[in-house]
Amino acid sequence: MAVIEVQHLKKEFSYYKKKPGLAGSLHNLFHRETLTKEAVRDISFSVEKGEIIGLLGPNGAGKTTTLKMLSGILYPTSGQAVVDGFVPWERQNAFKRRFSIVMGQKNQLWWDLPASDSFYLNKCIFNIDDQQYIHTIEELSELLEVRELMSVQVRRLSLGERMKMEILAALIHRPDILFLDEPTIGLDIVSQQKIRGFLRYYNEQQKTTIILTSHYMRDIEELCQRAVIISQGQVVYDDTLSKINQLMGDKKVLTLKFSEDISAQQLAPFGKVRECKCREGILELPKEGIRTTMADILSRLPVEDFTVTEVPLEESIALIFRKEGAVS
Amino acid sequence: MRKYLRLTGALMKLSLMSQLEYRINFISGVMVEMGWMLVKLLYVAVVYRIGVNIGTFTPDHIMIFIGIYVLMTGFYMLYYLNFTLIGHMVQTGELDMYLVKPVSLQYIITLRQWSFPMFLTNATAGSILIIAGWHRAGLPVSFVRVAGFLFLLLCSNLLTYSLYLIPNLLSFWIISTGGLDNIIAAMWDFNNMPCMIYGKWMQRIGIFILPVFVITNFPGLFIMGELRPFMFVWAVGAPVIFFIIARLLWKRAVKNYSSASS
Amino acid sequence: MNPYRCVFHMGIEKSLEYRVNFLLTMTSSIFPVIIQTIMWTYFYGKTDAAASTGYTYSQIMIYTLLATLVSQLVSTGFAWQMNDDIKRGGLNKYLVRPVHYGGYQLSSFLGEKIPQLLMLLVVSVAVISFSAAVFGLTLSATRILLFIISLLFALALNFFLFYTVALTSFWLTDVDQFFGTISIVLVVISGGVLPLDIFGEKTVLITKILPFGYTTQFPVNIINGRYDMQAVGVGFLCQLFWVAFFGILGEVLWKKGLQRYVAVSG
Repeated sequence: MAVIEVQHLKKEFSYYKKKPGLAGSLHNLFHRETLTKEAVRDISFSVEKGEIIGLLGPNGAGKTTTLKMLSGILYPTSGQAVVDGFVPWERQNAFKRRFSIVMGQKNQLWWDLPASDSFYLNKCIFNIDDQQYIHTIEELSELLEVRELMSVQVRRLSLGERMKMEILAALIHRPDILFLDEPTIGLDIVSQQKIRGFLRYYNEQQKTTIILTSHYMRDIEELCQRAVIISQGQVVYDDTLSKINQLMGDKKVLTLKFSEDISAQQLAPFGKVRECKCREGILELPKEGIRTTMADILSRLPVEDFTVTEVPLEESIALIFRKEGAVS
Repeated sequence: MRKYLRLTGALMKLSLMSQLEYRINFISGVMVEMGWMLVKLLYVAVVYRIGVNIGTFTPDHIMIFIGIYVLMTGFYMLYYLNFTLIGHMVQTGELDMYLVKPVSLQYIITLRQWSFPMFLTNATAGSILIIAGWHRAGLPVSFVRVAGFLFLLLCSNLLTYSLYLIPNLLSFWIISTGGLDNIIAAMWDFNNMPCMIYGKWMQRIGIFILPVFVITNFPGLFIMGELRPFMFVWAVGAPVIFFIIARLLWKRAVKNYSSASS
Repeated sequence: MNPYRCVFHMGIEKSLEYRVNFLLTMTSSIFPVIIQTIMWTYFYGKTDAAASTGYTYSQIMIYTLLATLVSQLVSTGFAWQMNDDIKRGGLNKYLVRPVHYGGYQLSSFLGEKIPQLLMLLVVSVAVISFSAAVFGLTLSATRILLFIISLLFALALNFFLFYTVALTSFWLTDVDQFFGTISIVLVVISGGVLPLDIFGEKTVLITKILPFGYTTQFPVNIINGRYDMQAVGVGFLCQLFWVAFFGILGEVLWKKGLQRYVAVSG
């Protein structure tokens, strides 16, 4: 059963053009040229209960705007959405209790106080009883490894620790649905991994439905089975992640290490050379017949080590964007 | 209702703790306010020095009016910071984090942070002036007078909140409201003296159109038994009317925010 | 060029840069002036206020109109900068050069104040001729000249006063937090809000003895015609005395503070 149903969502907003300088400002005072921009043109998708889906797309594609509409922050210009049985932009309190949104760029914690004080405020806002509150805090702080940080002022926390606290604050009322907008932005690799690990575990345990946007492909690869790719306000792809690679034509990437220097010319006969420097080379090969090609390479070149991998997701997605760009 | 009481308690506690993080700022806040208090008290001193009567009001009565002005300044100081932050929250989109909470948005935006240092100074000084004036003027201390006075103070607070929220709501549409804010804030200081010293037309405007005079003068007139029944009705009616205006404007502002931004 | 003259010119430039700011603060002080004029008019209309204050109606009105302007003019803003220099080591860049820090600050302050002084004189001319017409203020060239001289002394006095206050940064932590309070209190006890000598013989004596009144109340009352020539002469002597007093006190504090500064940061 779908918990989130989005149909033909569209969001336009108008803005003014301003010529630079004071003259431009004065001109604007009397005559304003109103321009309309479509942040989201036509978006439809649905999410099943307990699913984690990744919302991907370049900057300005409309990811954040979509999430804001699904959380009721913005009204759409047209189109429908039902989230957990509610129309988000009616902003019913019953709806607000069912979901949570974390935005990597904004914080809801009180800067000068320990995070636990902000949690307590959320307890009051969401009317959570003491027992459940204590239980939730204990469990989540354990999982997120922030137990000892509960009494440290937020301003003294590192970026990664702060993000963990933001996530904790968002989960205090045990939402069914979680929207995460760039939750790992600016974090170091270790913090990113920790947060990913937590989200995966939490999703498995609680069956929380999660929509995630991120710049980091690893976030998406590790967490989502499915991706919805948006480009210029439209859905250009909506399927499992593994299919993206199939879509790209079945190719593999072969990374080779040699015992002596090799030139690109020597590699060229075997496949498309992606990179070649001194004792390292990267080749792109069709999946079919890869065994014979491999055997060929091993017998003719001084190979020391090799690895075979899928084409990185980034590249596949970039290709989808490019195709979409060419079409429109 | 109980939820909001508890929430208010929690917000006050958090605000106080935040301010105590910077003890020196807290103390200097109190000190600066004491400096300003000196300016206000100077007017009391002048009134006593000249021994002037305003209508039938003696300096003792006038001290009550000034006391209410000081006290109401304290109450307004409690939450005015939130008003000045509205523009910032709209521009940075910090508003979004509160839009998704199951709580009245106007409540959480306008009554989120409470500033105590300035309140403490003004409330203490104001109360002392009121009580001293009440005592010296030999005004009766009956249940009706005290209860009515406290009730009117409550009305005055609602009126202050509504009246001063309205110009700040403009920051949903325009980026800088600096000039307008300053003028409206300056109007507040007209209450440093009872409104009876101002001309007829100024009084009418200050009572019925931009009812700043209602805020501090009406509770005082009530203590002195000088508030006519019609004016009592206005003392209760004005806050209700202006609160409704502020509320409608707020809803429009938020609707505009949700439709016009991305 | 002489370094102090250079800094003086920089001060002028800075002030011209922020002239809009100065005009804004002056306009924002219009409201208290309106309130006070209404208040005094009411009081003088209802009672024989002149008897209790010792000011005639026209004198009190002129005082109200001019005191705000004068206290804006003599106001200083360098105390925070000095505190910052002392606390964060900004002082070093002055110590290694052949300039005197106090002289540097004074030049910069005076430079900043000259354009403001000119602006103030323009406004004052308007206010004074208005007063002359409406309140029957009698003016003489000598009095205007004395007013201008007293303003210059007042500027110097307020500079050394705040310089002394700011030097306490050598000994006190977080003293900058209290500069705001001190500024307001000093405006009040200088007579920047109301004349303080309306409160009877004792306050008249106190304001004459204490230095603060000589920054605002004294210059305004020269124009007001409240002093005869002898009183103006005595006033000038007092102004000079206090300028010298705070000048010397400042120099002593500076020397002591510097010893401490070098000892602590070295």
